[in-house]
Amino acid sequence: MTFTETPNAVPAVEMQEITLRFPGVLANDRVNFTIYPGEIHALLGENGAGKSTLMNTLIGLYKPQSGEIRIHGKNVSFNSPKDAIAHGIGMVHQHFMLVENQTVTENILIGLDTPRFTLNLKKYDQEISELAEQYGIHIDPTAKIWQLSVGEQQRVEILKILYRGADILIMDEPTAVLAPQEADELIATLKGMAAQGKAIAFISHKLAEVKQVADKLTVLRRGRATAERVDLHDFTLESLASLMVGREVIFNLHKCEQDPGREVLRLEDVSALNNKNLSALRNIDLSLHEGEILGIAGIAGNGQSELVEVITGLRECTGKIWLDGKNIANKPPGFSISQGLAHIPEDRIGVGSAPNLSLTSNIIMKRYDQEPISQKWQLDYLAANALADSLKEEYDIQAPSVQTQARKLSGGNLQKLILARELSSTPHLIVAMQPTRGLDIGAIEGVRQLLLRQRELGTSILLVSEDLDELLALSDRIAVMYEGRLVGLLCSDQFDITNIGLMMTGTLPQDLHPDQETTRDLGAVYKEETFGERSSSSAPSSFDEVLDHVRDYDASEEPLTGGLPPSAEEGEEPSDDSPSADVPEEQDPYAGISEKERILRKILGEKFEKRGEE
Amino acid sequence: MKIPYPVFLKRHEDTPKWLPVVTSVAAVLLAFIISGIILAATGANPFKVYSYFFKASFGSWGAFSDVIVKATPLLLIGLGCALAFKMRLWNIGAEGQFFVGAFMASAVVMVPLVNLDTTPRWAIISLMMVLGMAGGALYGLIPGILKAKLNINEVIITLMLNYIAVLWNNYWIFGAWSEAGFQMTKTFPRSAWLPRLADYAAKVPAFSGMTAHAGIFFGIIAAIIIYQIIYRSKWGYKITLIGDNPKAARYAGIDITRNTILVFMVSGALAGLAGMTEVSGVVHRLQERISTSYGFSGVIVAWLAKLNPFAVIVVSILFGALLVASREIQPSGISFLIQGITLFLVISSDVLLKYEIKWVRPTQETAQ
Repeated sequence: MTFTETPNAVPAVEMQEITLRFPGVLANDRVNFTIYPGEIHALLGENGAGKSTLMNTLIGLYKPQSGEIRIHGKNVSFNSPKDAIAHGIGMVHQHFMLVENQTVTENILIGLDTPRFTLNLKKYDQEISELAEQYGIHIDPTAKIWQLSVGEQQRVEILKILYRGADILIMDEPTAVLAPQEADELIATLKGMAAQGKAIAFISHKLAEVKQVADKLTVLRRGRATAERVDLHDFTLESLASLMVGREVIFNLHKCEQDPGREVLRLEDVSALNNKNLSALRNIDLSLHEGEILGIAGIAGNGQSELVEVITGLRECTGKIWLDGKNIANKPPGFSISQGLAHIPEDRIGVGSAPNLSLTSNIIMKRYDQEPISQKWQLDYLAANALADSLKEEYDIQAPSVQTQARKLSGGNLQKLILARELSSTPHLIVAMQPTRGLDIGAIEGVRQLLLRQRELGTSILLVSEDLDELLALSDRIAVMYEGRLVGLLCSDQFDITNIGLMMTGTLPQDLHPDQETTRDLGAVYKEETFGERSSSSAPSSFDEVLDHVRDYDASEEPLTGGLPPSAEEGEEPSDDSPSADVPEEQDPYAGISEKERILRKILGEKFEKRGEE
Repeated sequence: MKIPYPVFLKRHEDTPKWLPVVTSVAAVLLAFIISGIILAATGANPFKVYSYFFKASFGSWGAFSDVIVKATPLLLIGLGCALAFKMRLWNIGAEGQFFVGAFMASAVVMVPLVNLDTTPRWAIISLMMVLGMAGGALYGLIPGILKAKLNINEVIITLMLNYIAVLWNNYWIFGAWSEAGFQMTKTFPRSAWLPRLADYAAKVPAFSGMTAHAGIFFGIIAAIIIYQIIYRSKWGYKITLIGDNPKAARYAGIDITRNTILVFMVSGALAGLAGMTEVSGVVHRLQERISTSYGFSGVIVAWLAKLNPFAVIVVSILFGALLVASREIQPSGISFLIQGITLFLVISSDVLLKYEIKWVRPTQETAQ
């Protein structure tokens, strides 16, 4: 091992040669992980690399098949998280475990042996206030959980652990659910806690964030450590990325020039209602050609889901939808499938797969009725398994066998399964909604390349995404949706992230006059600073932009609040010249700015702030 | 999931194929052990009771024939429930579908729909079968449509429809079809009886007095068909897919409305057929007490069999044996006690299919 020992200190956590095997998967293969008190140690890796498994082993949810765990120099063997907390180890999970209707204090006290019978809330409120103050955490102990923002709820979870006397904290992708301001605040809090001697393990797959927060770094790839306890400043972001995914990530997607062919899909005056019977789509007209990717941009909830649903037959509508000359509006989903429509749904688990059925059953979902799988009334399971096996190979779906239940696949592999099913049917039209959301860099790249390959094959693709960079990189044209309308349609030579951002917030293209000071100013900053290169190549070229991908996919998992977009908002400066600790915590930097500007900032993230600083 | 010290549950990564069989068998054995303890506590010798129990059900071919008689409706109903449950349609209405099937089959004789003296026996029985199944299917159609079109909770509807069916039968046996004021119809003519073993006593003297009837063959054929449907057919694939994730099924282009109605009808048809075999094969008339809660026991049978049609055969014979034994031993409640404990244990044992139980030892700590 090539790490620098902190002299005269006993490591808070020392995990040695941890090996953990699940059926068919080696989740951790002789991994070492050591944290000293006062240190933030990041654990970096793709989805399914074994980060969470390693930490779940540390808190006693799993037992390693081999390897040793020492806490403050003592050998331990935990059987449950209860044992772990008794040794001062606590974990903040991605999904909070809080009771909505109870106060902060009540939530913190849940499950403790004291108070035993009567509850003097005031006394404990006071205790918790003091504890929070000690670590610079801002929280009102008397507030009810439902009144709190996600970031505040996370603070409650941290306090819960601190109150139980933990000096070793494990944070499982803590910024995934946070807005940028909250993330900054969290990082400042973590640094403060480390300064007071806590040992912190920080699980993440965001390079920039790790670079900002951590002292030491361990990188996992497919269960093995590719870097163990290394110093962060020895690495560039590129080298970290390649440690994580195991090869040089191709950040430039190759998109060949090609002329679109005949029209494949045409929507004429399509309107639809949403689940609450409110107008969700208003008089949509659009057309899509062979070999063309039409991107649909928009803040979540502006009708994108409904648009996808009316095209795929899952929602009723008025108007006409022509697919290869046939009107598929209000036809059952089976009809459009038979017409060569493939659908990569937004909700992979809830819509795109049957979680308790095998890979095979999931693969044949749309072709169980076609030969050779269909044999009169029977289903030929041998043929089905053969098909599943070949697709598993072709799309590199990692699973023990095709009999494995779909729910056991990681997010990326499940998406590969869905792509394998949808793309292998040689569709004419692919409707893809958020195809890369929640995936790690390697998987994102794979999905994007698959889509581009389909484009080269002449397939039409309707790509709905909240990730502007993805749309800019892949689309031939981008249509912007706002409140159920298409408010703008841009060809690739007109792509301009500022204009798209403005349209997403309801500014119509004709309103984008050059005499609007803010707008022009903002646009100028954009072109010069960050997107100069893109406008010529239309593919992300600088590493900065790549980082946006890294941030985006996680940010988009957060529940939407106030209709704000989850894209590009995790924007911390990757460079060291903007330490987050100096962000004043009491002050709301968004105070006093208009709603529209606020939303813009949300969309544009750090780029907007950069302008503000100048 | 976590339960307090000293055990905790760990989710299985993979459920081995043999595990459901082992847990079910273990649950049944444990039910007998617990019931044995209760028997012992009441002063009886459980071994004697069980041996008597066994003799009463399996001790002779005659007894076994009785078991088969009881198992026949359970088998048919259990199969229907298994199919519906596979799609997560909670058809609790087998009892009602059973009664309507019995009523429709009786109508062939009571109206009468054909000339009972001149029509050949096979034709009468076939007609009774068809009408019995049609009756059950139609009675399944009602909740099927309500569920499929209006998404009304099928548990409530099917449960309520049971009462309606029983009362509907009562109307006929108390009124128009009543024989001399008794709450039953007249005995059906022989031409409307399903063949029984006893019918062949002249040729095979051993069959004398044996009441097992041809209904069991319907049950076995139905089990083979349902097995083929669930595990081999495209329709079964659709049912399984809808059962696991209806949204995914819809996304895959499967018509959920149509399949909901179809499955309900098939499920009802099997219960209706069970009603037909009971009036035509056992009591030979329509009367008030033709079912000892077969419709509800069938739900239990399907569940114990983990929805596997062949396992339904085994479980329905076991339950048939319990029913037969309950006539022989006093108090007769004992077999229902065992039934109840078995169901309780089998349903509880499901947790073992999903989780593995870990015993928590005190944390090992070795100071360095």
